[in-house]
Amino acid sequence: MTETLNETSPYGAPHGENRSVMIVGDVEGLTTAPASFGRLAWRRFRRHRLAIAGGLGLVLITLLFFLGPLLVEWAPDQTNVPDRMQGPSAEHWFGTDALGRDLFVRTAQGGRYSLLIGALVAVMATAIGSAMGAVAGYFGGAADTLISQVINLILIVPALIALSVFSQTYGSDAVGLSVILALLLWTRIARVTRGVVLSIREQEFIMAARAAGARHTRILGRHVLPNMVGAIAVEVTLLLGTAIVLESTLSFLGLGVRPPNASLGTLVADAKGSIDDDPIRVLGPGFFIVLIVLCVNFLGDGMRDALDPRAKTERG
Amino acid sequence: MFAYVTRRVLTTIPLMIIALYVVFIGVSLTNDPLGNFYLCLPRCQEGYDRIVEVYNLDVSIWVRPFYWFSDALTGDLGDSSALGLPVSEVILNRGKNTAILAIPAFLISATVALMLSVYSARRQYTVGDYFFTTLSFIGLAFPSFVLALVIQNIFGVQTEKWFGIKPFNTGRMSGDGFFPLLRDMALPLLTLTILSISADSRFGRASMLETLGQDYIRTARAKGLPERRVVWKHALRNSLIPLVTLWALTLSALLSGSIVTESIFSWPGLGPAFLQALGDTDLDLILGIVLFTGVLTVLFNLIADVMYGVLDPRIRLN
Repeated sequence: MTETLNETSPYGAPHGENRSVMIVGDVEGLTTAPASFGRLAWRRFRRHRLAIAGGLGLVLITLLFFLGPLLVEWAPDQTNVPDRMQGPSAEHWFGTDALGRDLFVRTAQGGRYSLLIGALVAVMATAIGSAMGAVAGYFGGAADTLISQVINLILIVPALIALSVFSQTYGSDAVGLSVILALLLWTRIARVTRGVVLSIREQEFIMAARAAGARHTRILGRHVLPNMVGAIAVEVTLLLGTAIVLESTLSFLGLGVRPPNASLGTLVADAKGSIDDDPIRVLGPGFFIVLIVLCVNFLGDGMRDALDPRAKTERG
Repeated sequence: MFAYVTRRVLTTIPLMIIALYVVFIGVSLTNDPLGNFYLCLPRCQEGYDRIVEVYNLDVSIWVRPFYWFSDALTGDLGDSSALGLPVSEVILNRGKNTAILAIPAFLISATVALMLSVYSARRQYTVGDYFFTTLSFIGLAFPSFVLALVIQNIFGVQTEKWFGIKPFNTGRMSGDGFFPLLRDMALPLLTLTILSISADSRFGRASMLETLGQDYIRTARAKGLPERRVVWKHALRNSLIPLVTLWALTLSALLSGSIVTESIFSWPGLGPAFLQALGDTDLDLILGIVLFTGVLTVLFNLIADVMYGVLDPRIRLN
């Protein structure tokens, strides 16, 4: 209980009451049903124009990567040497590479691969991180110490260095690379979850559940988990961006995705040699990464504002 | 505080050992130093035996790291197999180059980021604030290799006379002396600075905003202190606390060598050395660099914690 008390300001009303003031539209609050937390969050999220733009942009990019190649007749690995190294044209939207492969189709394929890895990492790291964080926060004691030390262990070596050591041999395809990335990136979510669970576990409804004889698994799953969803959702979004950046960086260095597969990072690395003559070819796939990460960050920022009413400092 | 520092260092040592052990196994499992010898075996028995002896290949792979640990404890980090030099010498030389780049990058970015966060926080939701916030958002979205390539293209290719463009990770320098050094430094420095400014200034803005909204700031204003004093003396000190951790992380990351930026601009620092060591599966050099970066990370985290106590006397280290 002490922890929740500390969070409220000594002068103002506790946050719970603040929230209810916002819900009530009319003076007495009798005519409108109180909005659920989800609806309130959605309302706040909708007001965040950049977040909407980010979400929309992400959908558009995904559609472009998945549906775009259907509109052109080229296959991603179809070489056509006489037409190599061409600039953008009606036929080849992004031009062709050193083997005459259509760069738009290659970029779309690489983009799908990057998004796939990002999504896989986000799912796996979230699963590991929230489970670890919940266990550490809920049980405390030895479990907490052990998990905290594992986190410290992972943080001791810079991520890129650890990644390059292991991805070189175990990470040449999407699943392998995602597992390695997830094993390194779950720490942040674990720490956030641990913090949230630490404050939840002291509250009355947990005590009530325990008094009613609920088992630990039930308390964690039914009572603790729903309260962590907001904090985790924000972290997952940001994690997606981090994973895509790290994956493309590794692939750029030749340590991640390897031929015949290609990700956006590989495409940049492939074209790196011709940056003198043809910067667009190199920077095109690179700007897609920037665009994706930008959208993801906007989305995450909007979600933070929407799901955490107290974090209202970061706006646009 | 001395007890605190000692305890922190002591708890880190086992973690460091586990990290190095995992890296050692990870690299050795996939690399056979004897790979070149199998085909010529009867003739090159001597060389074969020597490699077996140097890398302790006659013992189990799970025991082998401990030989490296016992050597490392005596200060011997082994020799780089690809470069033929002692690892400590390679790290020292490359680390010096990295530091030449990292320290100015850190000083510039920390100063600029601080100025920007104070500016943005004091003029929240004005055009200037939106401008810099958007810029930092965009900067944050750039993976280092894309930003480095963009900068290389704008300044290195289009104005080749000024900065020149060097092949990926060759470490070629323009020449001796201060001005050629400056010429080689300019673009990687710009890249690293932009990257850290975008990360730091967003964080700094949030922290400054939170501090400026607190009661004691209102009190300071109410008793008639000039605004400059309120911001730079009263607010700054408190809003620095979260920034210090970030700075410690930034500095330790910069000093460990930025693999991507240094490689793209062919700066002969630790990052490219690590990349090359990976390519050559130069086990001792890889381990040496992992140890070095790990020690740096721990050291700077510790410095950040000690700085906490200095900035905020309420925080007791125990």
